[in-house]
Amino acid sequence: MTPDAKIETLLEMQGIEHVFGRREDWVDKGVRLIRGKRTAPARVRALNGVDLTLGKGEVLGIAGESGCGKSTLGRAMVGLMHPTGGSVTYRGQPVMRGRRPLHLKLQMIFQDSGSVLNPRLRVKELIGEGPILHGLLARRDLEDFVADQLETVGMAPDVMNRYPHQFSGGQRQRINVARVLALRPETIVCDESVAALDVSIQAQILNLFMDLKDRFGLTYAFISHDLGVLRHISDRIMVMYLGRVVEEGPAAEVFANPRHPYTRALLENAPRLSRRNQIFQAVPGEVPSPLNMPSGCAFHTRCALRRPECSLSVPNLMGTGAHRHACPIVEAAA
Amino acid sequence: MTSTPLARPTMRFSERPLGRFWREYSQSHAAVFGLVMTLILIAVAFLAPLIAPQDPYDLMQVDFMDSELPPGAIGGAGQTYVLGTDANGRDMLSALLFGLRASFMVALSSLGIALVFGTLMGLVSAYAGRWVDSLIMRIVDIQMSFPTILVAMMLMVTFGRGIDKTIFALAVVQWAYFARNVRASALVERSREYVLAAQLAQVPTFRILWRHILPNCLPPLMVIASIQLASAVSIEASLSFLGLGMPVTQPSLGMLISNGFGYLLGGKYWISVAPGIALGLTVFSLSLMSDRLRDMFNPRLKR
Ligand SMILES: Nc1ncnc2c1ncn2[C@@H]1O[C@H](COP(=O)(O)OP(=O)(O)O)[C@@H](O)[C@H]1O
Ligand code: SF4
Ligand SMILES: [Mg+2]
Repeated sequence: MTPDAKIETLLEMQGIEHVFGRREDWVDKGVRLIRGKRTAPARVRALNGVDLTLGKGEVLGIAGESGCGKSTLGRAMVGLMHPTGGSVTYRGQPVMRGRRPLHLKLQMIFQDSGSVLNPRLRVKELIGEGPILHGLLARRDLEDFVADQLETVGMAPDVMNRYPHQFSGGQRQRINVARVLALRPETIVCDESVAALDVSIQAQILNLFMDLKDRFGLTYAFISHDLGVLRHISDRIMVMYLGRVVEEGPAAEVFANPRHPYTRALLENAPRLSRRNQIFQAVPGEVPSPLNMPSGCAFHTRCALRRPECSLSVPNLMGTGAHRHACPIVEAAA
Repeated sequence: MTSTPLARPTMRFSERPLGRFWREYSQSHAAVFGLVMTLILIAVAFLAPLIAPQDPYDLMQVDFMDSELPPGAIGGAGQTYVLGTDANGRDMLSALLFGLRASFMVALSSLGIALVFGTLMGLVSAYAGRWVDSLIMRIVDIQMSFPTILVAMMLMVTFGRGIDKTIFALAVVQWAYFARNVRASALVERSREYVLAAQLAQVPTFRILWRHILPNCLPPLMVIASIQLASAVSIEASLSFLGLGMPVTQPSLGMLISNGFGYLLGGKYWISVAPGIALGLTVFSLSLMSDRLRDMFNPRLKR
């Protein structure tokens, strides 16, 4: 599975499925019988069997339209939630203990939505809390430490006494990066970490991510709906559609020679870094609801190449080597 | 200065400094009036022993010969009874100030207990989830499905009157509001990214609740508390009016009203009316003060 056998595998996911919605208990069943409803309550199938490995030092880009399960996958990766099926391990150990994440080395950076940082804490408390709790830092060294961390992300040390609302989105994301780096992580899952920022700021933050990767030997799983962002930074790309991987491979190869019709459609319509921040509607047609997954290849409702047999069975990933895709039709044509 | 320019403050009300809060609050003159009145009433109530002309419950200071004097009458010792006297010759102004004090004391302490307990239950409910949450919320539902005054009366009838019992009964009928509100806010906060980030940073659960979730639940909680204060004062008055609340030795406004009730028809209106007006003014001021807070926090009413 690992792209290069010499690279150590850090994170591994196998057969991840996740269904949102409460499982029916006997009370629900009783109510349903009395009311005479035939079908069980609607449940969202957010992930439908995703395998993934993340090697040390790698940047894995995870692409796909909004609603295809990227965030759910990201949260399952770091142990913020139990997927309803499959296993997630980090360095061979489960990522969760009980209902909590287990590995301090495995961190996540969220989209700046204004609530990535606790609005009630000062910058120095935000950055210092974790390290003090874990004995990485003595309380009396807090200010020096925070100043160092802020410098690492390109901010002046004198902002440490301010509150999050006193900063712009880009600055908040820098502070957030400083907060995460202060925990001395090894692997960071970035979920739409630049999506809320202006285009010029996006580039700055992406560059910061790449600098930090080199400096601290970090490994990233970078989730974005924006192929322009991923093209910039990824070593490897994974394209998702409705909770399944439809294509994966080395980034250069996938971008140069996309195989799956969905990836092609995404790339044809992908806005470049220069003219982004528009509403993302790369592929024509509506994304079907994961409440009601299309049968067979889930993309068949929008695919230009579809054949009648496409709706019969779910295609597996195919192809030789690291570049694989889940469409038997293009396979035959190639 | 710094290389990083300051950004504009965010839209979130709770993050703005006190000054902005006051500017918005004071846009309503009625609310400012209510707030000022509330502060004056509370100050007067707690200073009662210092400013009241007599201690109405010290028999040595009460002259039985001065009973049922109308407002403004001159007593046997030459003192003026501004609000008259009651059937026992007590100065009504003094009785009223002490009554106000008893009312506020009971209302505020029951509120404090209800707030702390309700908040605790709400936090536990939101964070523990599953059956703990179901259990606590079912209790809250049951509690809130009974009329408040009825529950309070049943408790008082069961346990008998007394200050501690009145405080207890009022706390029992109020905690559910706090629990439900805190749970709702905490559920919202719990799924915010900064809480997830704290979980990833292995911050212990207790500390997440205390330092991350609770402070962000406080603003709406303060609104509820201010609304509940008016309701605590009136429930206590009702209980005491019915002779179920405060003991005879420490009458609150409600009991003063009830004491004077029998004299109303005899034309000795002041014994009942003075504490009645005081109670009305108190509840009115508290409502003006809290309604503004409620409106400010209700996003639907915002421009
Ligand atoms: N807490 C939740 N409860 C129910 N459905 C959810 C929840 N979170 C996400 N979903 C659904 O799961 C699907 C995948 O969501 P998400 O992982 O956030 O996708 P993405 O990050 O790719 O936009 C969506 O259809 C979304 O509506
Ligand atoms: S399997 Fe069929 S529907 Fe799916 S992508 Fe290939 S051609 Fe399109
Ligand atoms: Mg997402």
